[in-house]
Amino acid sequence: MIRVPHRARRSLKVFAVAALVALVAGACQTDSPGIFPPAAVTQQGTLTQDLYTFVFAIATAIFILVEGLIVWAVLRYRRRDDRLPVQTHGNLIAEAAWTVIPALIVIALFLLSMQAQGKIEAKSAAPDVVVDVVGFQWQWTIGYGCPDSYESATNVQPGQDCDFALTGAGKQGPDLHVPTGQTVRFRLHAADVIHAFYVPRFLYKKDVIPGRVNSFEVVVEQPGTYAGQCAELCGLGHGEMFLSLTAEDRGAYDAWYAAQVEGAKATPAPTQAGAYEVHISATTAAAFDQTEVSAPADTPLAIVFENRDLTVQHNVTVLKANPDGSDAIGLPFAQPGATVTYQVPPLKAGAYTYICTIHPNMTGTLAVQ
Amino acid sequence: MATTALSPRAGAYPRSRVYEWLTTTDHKKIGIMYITSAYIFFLIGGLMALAIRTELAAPGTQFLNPDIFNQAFTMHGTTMVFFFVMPMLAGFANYIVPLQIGAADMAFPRINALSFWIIPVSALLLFSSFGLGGAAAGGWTSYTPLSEAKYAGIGQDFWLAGLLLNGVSSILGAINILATIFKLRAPGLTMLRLPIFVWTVLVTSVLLIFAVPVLASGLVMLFIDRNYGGAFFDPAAGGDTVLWQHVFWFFGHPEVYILILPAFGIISEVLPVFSRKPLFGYKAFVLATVSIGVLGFGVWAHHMFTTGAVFLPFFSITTFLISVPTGVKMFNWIATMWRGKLRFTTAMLFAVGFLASFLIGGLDGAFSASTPIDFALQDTYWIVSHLHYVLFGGSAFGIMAATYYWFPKMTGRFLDERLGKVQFVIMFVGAHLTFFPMHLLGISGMPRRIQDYAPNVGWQDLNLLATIGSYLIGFGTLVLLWNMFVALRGPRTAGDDPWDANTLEWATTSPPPSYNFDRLPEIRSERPLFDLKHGGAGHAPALPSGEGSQR
Amino acid sequence: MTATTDVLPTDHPVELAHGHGDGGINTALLGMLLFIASEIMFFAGLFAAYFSVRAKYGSHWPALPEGVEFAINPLVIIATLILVSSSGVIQWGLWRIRKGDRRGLNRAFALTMLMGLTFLALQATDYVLLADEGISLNGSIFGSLFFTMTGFHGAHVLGGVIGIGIILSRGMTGQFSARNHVAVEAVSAYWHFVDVVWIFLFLTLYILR
Repeated sequence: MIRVPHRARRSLKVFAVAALVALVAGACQTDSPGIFPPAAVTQQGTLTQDLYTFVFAIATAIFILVEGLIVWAVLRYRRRDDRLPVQTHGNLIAEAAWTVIPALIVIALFLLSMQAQGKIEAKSAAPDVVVDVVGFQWQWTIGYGCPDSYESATNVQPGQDCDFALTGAGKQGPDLHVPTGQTVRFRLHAADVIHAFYVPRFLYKKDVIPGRVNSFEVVVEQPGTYAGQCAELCGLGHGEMFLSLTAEDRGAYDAWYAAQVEGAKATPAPTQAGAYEVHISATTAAAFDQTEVSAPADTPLAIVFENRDLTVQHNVTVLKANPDGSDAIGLPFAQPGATVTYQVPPLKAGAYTYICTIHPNMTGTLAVQ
Repeated sequence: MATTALSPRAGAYPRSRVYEWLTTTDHKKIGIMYITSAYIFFLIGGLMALAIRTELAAPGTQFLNPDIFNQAFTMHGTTMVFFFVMPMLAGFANYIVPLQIGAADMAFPRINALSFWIIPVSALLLFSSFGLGGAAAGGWTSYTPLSEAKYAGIGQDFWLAGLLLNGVSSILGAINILATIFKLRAPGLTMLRLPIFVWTVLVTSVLLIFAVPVLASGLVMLFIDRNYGGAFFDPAAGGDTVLWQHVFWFFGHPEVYILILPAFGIISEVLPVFSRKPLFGYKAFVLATVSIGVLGFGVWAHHMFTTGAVFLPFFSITTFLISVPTGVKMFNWIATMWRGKLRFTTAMLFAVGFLASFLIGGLDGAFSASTPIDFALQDTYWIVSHLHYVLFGGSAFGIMAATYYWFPKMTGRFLDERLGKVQFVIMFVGAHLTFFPMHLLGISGMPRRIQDYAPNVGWQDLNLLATIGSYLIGFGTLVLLWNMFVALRGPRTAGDDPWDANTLEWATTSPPPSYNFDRLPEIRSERPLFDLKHGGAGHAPALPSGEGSQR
Repeated sequence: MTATTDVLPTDHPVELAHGHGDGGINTALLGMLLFIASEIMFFAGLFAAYFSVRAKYGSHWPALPEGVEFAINPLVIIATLILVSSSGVIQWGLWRIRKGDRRGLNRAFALTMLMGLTFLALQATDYVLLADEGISLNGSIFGSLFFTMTGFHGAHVLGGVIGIGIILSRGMTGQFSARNHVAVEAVSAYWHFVDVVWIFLFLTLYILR
């Protein structure tokens, strides 16, 4: 007969439960991930947070009850002799109880959820601010002051039709601003595949689907800067599709808005005199047309980039090209069909890698001699 | 009465063992082949998981670039669902169901063999893509347009073809099981005396017949989109890209019940035997199983709450309601143990571990059923946690329980119980260590299917914990493999009924002869062997109480 | 385990224990019906796709390119009549073999096979005519759906024709009787299924549109 190590097994169950409790308790701090969501910053998110807390309480109660029953059964009913126990086949009252009571609990949860859902998904007749979000592989373009047709238009060019469009400088993506305390409607347009617009502090996400325009509204109550990223697998750069959202009072928002409008109208800086021109182009998001280019050393460079790709933006970023060793990020992005010139400071001799910030698989070597 | 003695060796001519196994139509050998190949794919899928977890243990790209990473989690999911869990459960069903109903084999033995051999061919199709340009990389769910020709390479076509073939295997197997259960039951075995494992396999087979062909239609449509200029899912060509999700999840949700119901059945075999009591509430259990099967077809769009394209209230209420029959089962299982005489064999440990873990996975579902909460949790590591709790803490633990429980019947040898307990402890701790932290990661905002994360958002400690846990699971798997290896080299020591069990598979030798039974006990309840031994259901006991175990 | 095998006495009829599934539907026929159920679900997926896309397009359906029209070809009506009546023919053949009339079976199945092949030929002709009019698999979402649905149906008709051919060749070599013809039952059931699917396809694609 093989001896069953009851005590070892029992203490392991206790350990497991204790570990879970410790994990939960230790994780209830606000900084590191906890068993509760981070504090919601929108009106709508607060509703979700409250609902979560309520469901959590019920789930925990059920968890403690059922796990308790399991642990109790395991400890209490170990075989101590070889007699058969009473061969109970069922109990109608118990079975009715544990069918009806859970059914009532879930129906109640459903009704509470529907109530919250109604408020969260509600659309107002006239939102204070409308932000158009275009998700594309692998970056976001944010349009402000876009025409009403964007309410249902699936193929949009915010750079052309709106007051201004943001794409952001490099990997961290654009920094949207919204006013606090006002209704902001986000309209979501997909340029290629399905993406998802997700701001964890909103406790909310919505898919960005080609062929349809999804929208949702929030009222941000807590000023601050919040991170967001794509939450629907969209290819190689899915994990790098970031954005940030800054919520500030209406006055600061208006000032920011005006500055953006000005920036959109500004003409680009003229090419440095004596700069050596390097010509690079791209026709698809798979690769640059040129993977090797050369330039003389110790001469300012002007990278003339022609984006022949008619579907998506690109740029040329030369890695470690700045005097301080940082990357010379190519801004602004070249819209489909457009040509943009990027200034690069004089470089020492050597081989430099250039990439497209949005599509890091597009790479090439700049040989400086 | 004139009798004739046949020549003793009539029909026994020498043939190689390899030929025997390649051409067998014996459900027991086919079952063993299913189980063996499923364990091989468990290892392959597990190695992919370890690669993923190793990459995610710390911020920064260590060794898996995004392209390989995306292929890794896509193929990990596809392998585990279609080549580990489904064939494993099919294997146990194949071996055990004919025995439990007192039949000599399945209704269509040759189709049974075909169903098995399709699996390695479909695997070849699927896995060859790694060497031919890269495997599919759009997730096991392959949402369009990411899986259309413009964005996905030929690996996606291999994925479609491989799964189409794999689906044929599942459908044929389901037809076989249903015909077997309906037509080949022994005398006295009414439907309400079927062992619960047979009931769960029955409902699973009905689900397979109704769900897998719908997947097939979706795979075909996507294949036509990709290769013949079709416009089903391509919005640029006038198609509807959300349609893919509807078609996929109409299959995909019943699929998850296909993955778990037989495991429910296994637990419902193991708990009564090692509690020495009948399953509590047999009829309610049958009703709950059928309800889950039916309701399971009405919840699919809860995977699509964030698309903005589904009618939320309907799918939310059905999702909430499906937790009720599942909860009934949980209580039935606990009540089976209640006031029993519990024996903690490894099979029983995994069964209890299943209860403890599946509870968490099930409660997770209650959160996601609430649409506002789902808006926050969808596509984050919360979902990864939920699905692994039910698939690993649920299905895989059930499979482990089945392995330890039925290994003696299949091989005539015991898996070592001490090693088994070691494996259980390692896997139980490993599973919770891996998957519980993922709840927290998801709630705090970590999306799923990302290859890397920033070092300053506080996710690395939990990710490291999860990786450690995954290595524990891997180590536990090695313990199991060692256990099997050692056991198979030993002598056959298991008698007919080593566990003092209830159902007909224990009323014959271990392993059974090719024709399964020399004689069958009278069948008057769902525990015919128990009745024979202990005088249940109107029997006088045939053997003194307590005998029947031959260890 | 004994070394010799006991054998049932030869002067008593063999008594088989009656299992609980005895009586009722024949096992092989049950298998065919379950297979048909799975095939119905395959077509259900395609029909669901059709109706969901059609609903999305609303009054713009069928969303064909400029100048392209989709109209019922008289050939299709003839093909439909032929296929529907072939169900009657095959059923008659089944009734005949249930009464032991193998010649009736063979004649009926030969005729059904001919009607099935005719349907396929007419369908192929319709395909060519539609292509000429500009409706193709890759030209529009309607085309994708139309050709996929009717194409897979045609493949199933072909499968049915092959099954009928097998029955015919077995029947012509004297294999079926009143007591022993389960393959005939199974193939007939399959053929009726193929016919019913066509009725739904015809109504959905040609009439309802």
